[in-house]
Amino acid sequence: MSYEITGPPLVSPWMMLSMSEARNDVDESKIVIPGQSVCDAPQQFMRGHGTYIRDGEIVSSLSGVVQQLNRLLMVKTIKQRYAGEVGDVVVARVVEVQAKRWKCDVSSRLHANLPLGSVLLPGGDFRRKDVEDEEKMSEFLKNGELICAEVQQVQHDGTLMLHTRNNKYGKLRQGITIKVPPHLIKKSKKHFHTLPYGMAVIIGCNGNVWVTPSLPETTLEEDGSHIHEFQVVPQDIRLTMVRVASCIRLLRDYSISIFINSITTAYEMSQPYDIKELSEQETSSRLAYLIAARLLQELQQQK
Amino acid sequence: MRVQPVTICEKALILEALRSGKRFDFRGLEEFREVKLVVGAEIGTAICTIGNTKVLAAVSAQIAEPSSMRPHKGVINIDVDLSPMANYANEHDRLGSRGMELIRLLELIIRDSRCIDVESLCIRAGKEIWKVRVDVRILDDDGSLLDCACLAAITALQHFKRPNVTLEPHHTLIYSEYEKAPVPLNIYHMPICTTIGLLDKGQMVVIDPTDKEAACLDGSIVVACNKRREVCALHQSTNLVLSTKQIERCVKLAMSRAEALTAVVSDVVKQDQRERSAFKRPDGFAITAPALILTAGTVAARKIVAPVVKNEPDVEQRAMYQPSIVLNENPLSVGSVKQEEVDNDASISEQVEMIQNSVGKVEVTETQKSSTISNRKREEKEVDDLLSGLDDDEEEVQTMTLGAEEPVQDVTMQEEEEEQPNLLLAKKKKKK
Amino acid sequence: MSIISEHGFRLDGRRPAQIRNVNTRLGLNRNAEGSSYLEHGNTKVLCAVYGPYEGKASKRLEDRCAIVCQYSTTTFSGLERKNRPRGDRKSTEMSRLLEKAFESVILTESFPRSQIDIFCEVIQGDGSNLAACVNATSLALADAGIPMKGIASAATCGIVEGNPIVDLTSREETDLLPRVTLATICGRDEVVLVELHNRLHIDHLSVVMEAAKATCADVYECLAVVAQQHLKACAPILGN
Repeated sequence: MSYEITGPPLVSPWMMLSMSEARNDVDESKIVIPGQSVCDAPQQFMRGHGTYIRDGEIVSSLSGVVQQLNRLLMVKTIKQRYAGEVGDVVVARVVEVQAKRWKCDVSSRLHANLPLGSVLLPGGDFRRKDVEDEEKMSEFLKNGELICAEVQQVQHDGTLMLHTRNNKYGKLRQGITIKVPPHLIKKSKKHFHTLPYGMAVIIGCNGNVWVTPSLPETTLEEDGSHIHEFQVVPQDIRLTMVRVASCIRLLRDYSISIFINSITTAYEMSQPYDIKELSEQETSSRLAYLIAARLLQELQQQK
Repeated sequence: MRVQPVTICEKALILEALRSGKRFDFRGLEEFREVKLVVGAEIGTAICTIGNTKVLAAVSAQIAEPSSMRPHKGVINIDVDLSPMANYANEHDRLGSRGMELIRLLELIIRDSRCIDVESLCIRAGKEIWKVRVDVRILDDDGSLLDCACLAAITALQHFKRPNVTLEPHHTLIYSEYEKAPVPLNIYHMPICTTIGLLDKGQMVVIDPTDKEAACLDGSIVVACNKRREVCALHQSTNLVLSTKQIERCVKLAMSRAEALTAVVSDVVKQDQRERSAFKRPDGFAITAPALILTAGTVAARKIVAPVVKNEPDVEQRAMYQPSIVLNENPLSVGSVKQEEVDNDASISEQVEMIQNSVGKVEVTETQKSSTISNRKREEKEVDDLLSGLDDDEEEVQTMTLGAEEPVQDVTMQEEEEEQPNLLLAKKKKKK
Repeated sequence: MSIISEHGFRLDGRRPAQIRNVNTRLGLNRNAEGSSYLEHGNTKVLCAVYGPYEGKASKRLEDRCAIVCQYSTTTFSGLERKNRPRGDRKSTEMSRLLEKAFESVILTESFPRSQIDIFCEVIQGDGSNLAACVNATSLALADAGIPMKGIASAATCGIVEGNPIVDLTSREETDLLPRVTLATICGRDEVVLVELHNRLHIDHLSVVMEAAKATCADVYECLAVVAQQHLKACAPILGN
């Protein structure tokens, strides 16, 4: 028997998709790499993010695309750690319980803060938090719990301040979480989506997508607190959830943007296949091409 | 211990001074500190001091089995001991990143540049070789650690002589130094290391930075050269962006220094050689210790004298010259006796004596009265007692405690005696 | 067997001033923020970059980002089997050199209190291992979108009878040949890493430095092309 040992393939199957279609959304003339000069006449422009000044010239520090906004020149890179903006909805995990605040991991370069005063406690909103509440902090949110929150503020060093002062935010209980690179999340106004298949999806801006049988705002009891016990989820809904999760992973692997349309399209087009087949390379690459083609078609139709 | 960072104002001051060409030890920017090299009484040891940095290197050799990959080559091991004694930033018993860097650089300079002929260290190919071990101990760290360590190691290696051996058919005969003269190591060249600090993105060069200066500089580059105008090692110590011209400039500086220092090392070793062959007992490291002895507070040429047991005391003399170890002494007056205080003590002792006499306690030995320095006779007697009757210790202790109770009660009202009861109480506690 | 034959060719048929083929792939590791695979002829290196993320409190620096590098060689990477892939003195020294080099290249002031992890694995070591690691790391950092002063490129050069030879293989990295590993930013005269092995005469120093600088510039050209091409492949379909 003979073996053939080679290095990595010339183009990975995932990248083949990105490189094949007419990628006219990326302007080649504006691509820069670190150390490359960004403009010819540096006096006219101001330097923005992703650039630095060297010997009077504006030089790029990232590999990305140059963007010009009036007189501001900045370099936008595609892949970057989640930076955070006010108003973003994120799905975060609690990593530490400190005095009067929780530290949460939002896949950003620093952990985010969730102060005690910014959470909606069960059984009453907007009441002053006293010493008892401080001691009961870990009863409410422990290490490792998943929450859904909104970014209230971005500090000067990049730390995010979160809040959950709304019924739709709060602790996330039953569901599947999928980690997606943040640049694949398409910006949209709505983050909570109820799918017609009996489940819901929260697309966090920081790259965590949460597939759940029911959203937090629907699982409320009379006094306003969330239901504590786990509910039994029927099997067909569970299968649907797993299928949706596999579709999201497929979209992620083939660098297709993740937004509600792409998820629903992917779900519908994956119906002829078994859930298990979705993770195999042959089926997934074929499917990915079809999904991409369909989405581009829809986009052109809209235009 | 945690590293104490250089304060912002200190750093600003040092940088400003450097930029205007001044340094705190009055050196120029391109001047080296004074180098002192001493070889020890034992063969293969050397201490090198550059300014305040002090490093001791000791070389020893052992017969060992060679590795299977290099059966006819000797082995040179370098071990560095970087303890908190040198710099409190170092960890105890563990080589931090600085220590690892130091060892690696020393290995690079001494072992990898092949300055020692390792093949001459082979006794029997595949079976016995000399394993030479260089132990470098950092005694004090004030910048330019690598320079000092390298110099000390090189001097020690030059100075070292291994025992002479002859190969017999079934065994190897090792001669002691009295039978056959020991053989020096075969050294091809001497790599000398120089640390060059850089400032302002390499525009400015600061030679031989001290520890404080090194913390303020942008970075430093380490160059090791030898007399034959070869560069033995070139290593960037900290993150810095340089141009090749700057690197070449640093190398030239290091080259001239290496030539000067090689001469010094050879001189030192040769002189020691001469002394030994003239059968003069080498001073060794004794010449590095200052001929001063430190006592409490002041440095003065004094001798420490054990408690003197004399029968005829000279009271006046004693008042001026106090032995530093005195038994049963007034703790407050230790080391702080001056003429004025003696009078004070004298008055207090008189008062106590009065009280003691008024109480009329039995078995109030002389030890009960205030033990002031002026009362020499009593003390001597006491010393005599203690020295002669060491078995009586326990009894004496008990009597002392008994006696101490009475005076305490009586003197509570008098303010002047405030010192006394406390003292006596203290003594009581001490004895107990 | 001499390093340069009488006709002026080296053991593998190259000319003294010729570099080996450079082969790269970016974005292989899906978990890491940035990753790259680089080949310099037979020297094969994998690099993965994680971060910036909130690292350990012990490594945290208040005003800049902490950079942690790990250089490891697989047990099958050299001629003889190596028992310890990492943690030995040589690997620790290489890790430190990489850390120091990239601390000057990455704009660490942009992320205080964060940490960037760089892992380099030499799969097959055929000379110029450190230079290959520097190149692979530069590409991985560019892939990860971490701001840098420029792409750092490195090369190892030696000198034989006054003639400089560039991009040494392991057969040419002998104990007698002095060699310098030099890393510069964007091929310019900005040196971030310099490492010398064996003794080099001072007259040969400038010759070797010049040759090394020129080689770094050549390698930079290759890396720049790769980085630019990869950007197109990264962009998500129907993205922003």
